[in-house]
Amino acid sequence: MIYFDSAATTLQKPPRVARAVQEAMHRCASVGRGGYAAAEAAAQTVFDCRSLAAQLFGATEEQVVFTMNATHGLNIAIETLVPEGGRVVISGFEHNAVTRPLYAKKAQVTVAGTRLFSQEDALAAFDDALRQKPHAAVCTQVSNVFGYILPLTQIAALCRQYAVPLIIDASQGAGILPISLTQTGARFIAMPGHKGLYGPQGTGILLCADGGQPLLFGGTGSNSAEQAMPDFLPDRLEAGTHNVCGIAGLAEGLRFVRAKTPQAILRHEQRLLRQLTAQLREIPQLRLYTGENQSGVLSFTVENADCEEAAARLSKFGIAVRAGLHCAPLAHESAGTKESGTVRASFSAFNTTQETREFAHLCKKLFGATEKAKFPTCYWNENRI
Amino acid sequence: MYDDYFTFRSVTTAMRGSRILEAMGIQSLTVRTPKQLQQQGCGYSLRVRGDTVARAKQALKQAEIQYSSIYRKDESGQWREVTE
Repeated sequence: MIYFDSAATTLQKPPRVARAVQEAMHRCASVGRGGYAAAEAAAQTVFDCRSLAAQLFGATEEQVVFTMNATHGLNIAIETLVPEGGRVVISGFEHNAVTRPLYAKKAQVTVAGTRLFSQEDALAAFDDALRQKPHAAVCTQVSNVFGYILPLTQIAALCRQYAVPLIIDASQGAGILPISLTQTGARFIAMPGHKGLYGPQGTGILLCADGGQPLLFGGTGSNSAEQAMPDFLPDRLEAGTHNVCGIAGLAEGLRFVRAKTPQAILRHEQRLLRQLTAQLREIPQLRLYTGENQSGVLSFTVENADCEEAAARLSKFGIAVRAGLHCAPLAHESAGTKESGTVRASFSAFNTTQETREFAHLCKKLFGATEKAKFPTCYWNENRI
Repeated sequence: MYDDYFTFRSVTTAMRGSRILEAMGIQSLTVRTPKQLQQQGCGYSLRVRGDTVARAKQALKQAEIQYSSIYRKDESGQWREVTE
């Protein structure tokens, strides 16, 4: 299989990740509950991961809150900062993990910056919108659909200038782009453990500058006599038993990213992007969405072909890509692809040049016919061209 | 003999403290806070030797790691808060 869906989840992980999960299942009990060896092992494992994340993302260990995924973290952040009917500024490329919680709160949303790959447009729009002093601003670091890298450093500076608390969705940027709680001055930064950090599914990190509103209330192994949730991090936002095994795996993922360095991983993915783009440009039936400031994510459409059918066809030949709206209808609306959807190829540190060649070759065979790319019923039964 | 307890509200802060002390060459054990010392319920403590408590206190203060209190058990088995 050629796996080009790392924007959804990285399927290929460093081998140490699975080993760490397995070892933790045998060795680690629960954190912050008992005082025996297996509890100590769990506490050390979880603290090690917190420490790794703190170093990588410019935070203290207490500011590193473990979540189930980025969506969980974004919900905590929005619940904390946005009152019912509150005013929020978001970029034109936010995921449903941002727009749905805001919809549920009946928030008044201003969309700032809808021109794909235009950082200037985003900055001007945010500057304009932030003057209105919204309750919060939310900005994705990288569009999950198009790989568009937003000018987060400058947007964060604008938020500081206008004293608007910022929530950053680092789902697609963590592990390839620098992100720091201290340097951005963001109030919250949410990221999944299972994408660019190469950890297991069911893990995530929420960096919290200063407290937060819990979504979950329950045992924390601290202040147990009090009924109010602890007023200190990370306990306040970590009710219930931790996913210690997942966190053990995430720690190995973080070590992998630290050793490789995010810069090197990004360079690798962008090289694959350039290689694939150059090859796909030779197929006139494909429309590619590319620009400056792009990570290793490529969306394209196929002339006169349904994007889901195109992806299904690729899947028959062992190619894993994702098609449709990618849980980001706002991004598609901004780019003008809401009607068609797109096929999205997204890379990881484990993809190779050879894979991009094979993918391009297959696309040429499947979609590059001189006749319109139709898929008659008999095609679905074929196993090879 | 570990006989002084720095109590913490959070196991995370206790562990951060433990790493700081380790870096300073001060041995400590991360333990559950004895029930008698728990003011608001469950918590964790760093047990250190009596002869290192002053250094430990300074190291934690310098690293801005907040502990709740320091306790010591006297010869009669009673806990008393260490204030000096």
